[in-house]
Amino acid sequence: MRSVPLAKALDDAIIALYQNGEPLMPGNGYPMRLLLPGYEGNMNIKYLRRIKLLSEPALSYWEAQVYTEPLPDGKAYQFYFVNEVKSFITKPSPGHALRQPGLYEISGIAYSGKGRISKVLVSADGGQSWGEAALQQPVLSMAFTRFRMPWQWNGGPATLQSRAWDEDGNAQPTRAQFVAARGELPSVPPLLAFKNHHFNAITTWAIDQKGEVTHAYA
Amino acid sequence: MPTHRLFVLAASLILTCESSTMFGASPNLGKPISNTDLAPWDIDVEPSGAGLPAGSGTSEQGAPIFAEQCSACHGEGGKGATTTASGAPAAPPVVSDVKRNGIDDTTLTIANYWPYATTLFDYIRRSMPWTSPRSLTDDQVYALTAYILAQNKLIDDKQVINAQTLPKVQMPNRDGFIPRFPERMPRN
Repeated sequence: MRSVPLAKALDDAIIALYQNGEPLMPGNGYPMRLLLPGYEGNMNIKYLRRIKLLSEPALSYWEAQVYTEPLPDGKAYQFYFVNEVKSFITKPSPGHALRQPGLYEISGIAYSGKGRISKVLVSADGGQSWGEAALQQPVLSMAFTRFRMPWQWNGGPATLQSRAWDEDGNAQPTRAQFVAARGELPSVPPLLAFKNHHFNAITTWAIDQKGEVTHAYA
Repeated sequence: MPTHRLFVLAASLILTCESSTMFGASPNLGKPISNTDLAPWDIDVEPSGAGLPAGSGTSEQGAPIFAEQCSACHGEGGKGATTTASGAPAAPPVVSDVKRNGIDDTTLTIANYWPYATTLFDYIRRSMPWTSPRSLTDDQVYALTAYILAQNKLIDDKQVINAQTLPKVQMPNRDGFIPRFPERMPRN
């Protein structure tokens, strides 16, 4: 059970019966699901059974605790909803390896729940210098946007990052900015733990001299 | 002054199609449902108390129900269990005096975090016990709600919990939230 602002319902909410020309797959919520563009995934109710008009949010368990974001000062965000501007490099990424120095394509995904992606910058030196990536058309509002950038790897250590902006002027935060606002756990949580909802900071891949790609904090 | 903002509530599980208001361009799926058939599904409870049914319960009445229906997963007295008899994953404690520690979500509890007590009734009634949700009577749900609130020292042991008293329970963290959505959403 989720409470959806009426403004969103009247703006661009969809009750989806079909996807890609065929009925929804069971795992996607057949026979119908709610689709709220730009909102966090859990709001897009599968197996939709009922819509009811209320004068205030219901504060279901999921709204009262699970999909809130505790803050370091003891307060917490609730009704966060929008997935803010985010990007990450998919190629190369951990699991890939660069075999020899030479020309590579850096490519990734950018996204904003507030509109179209307007710009993506890419760095290979941990953010000291940046170049603007090409955006694959069409660039649609609240949709994955592929970016690409040619890159000459000289065989030395490199630190790859991407940073996106959206048409509202929102910038993807650096990790330091995100940690300052949202805090940091004292230790790395289990891989399947459900921490840091709405984490949208810059993600860093480190490349060593052998061309191995690993996650890094930078 | 209460701000009356409107929300739509979306819930999942089984398809019913409320259809005295069918629109012309409908894909003709589903079938109309009567109010009688709809009633068992129309169970959302709001912080104002709207949606709470008739009935009542006390912590004393809730204790044996909790022992029988809840403690297998939530532990004796609701204090959590590390394993369950069936081998299923243990459910989180519902009675706890843990202090919240920053952003560590494992330290969030009903007592130190939930803004409204009505959430307890809504969630127990729609979802618990895990193996047979909707099998409890409304009186039993009120009694369990009272038991959990009393064990967490949020209400007096003797307090009767019903549609009038539950929305008035003051949860300690009621003002601990910052709505991120542009409109200010919770009542104040």
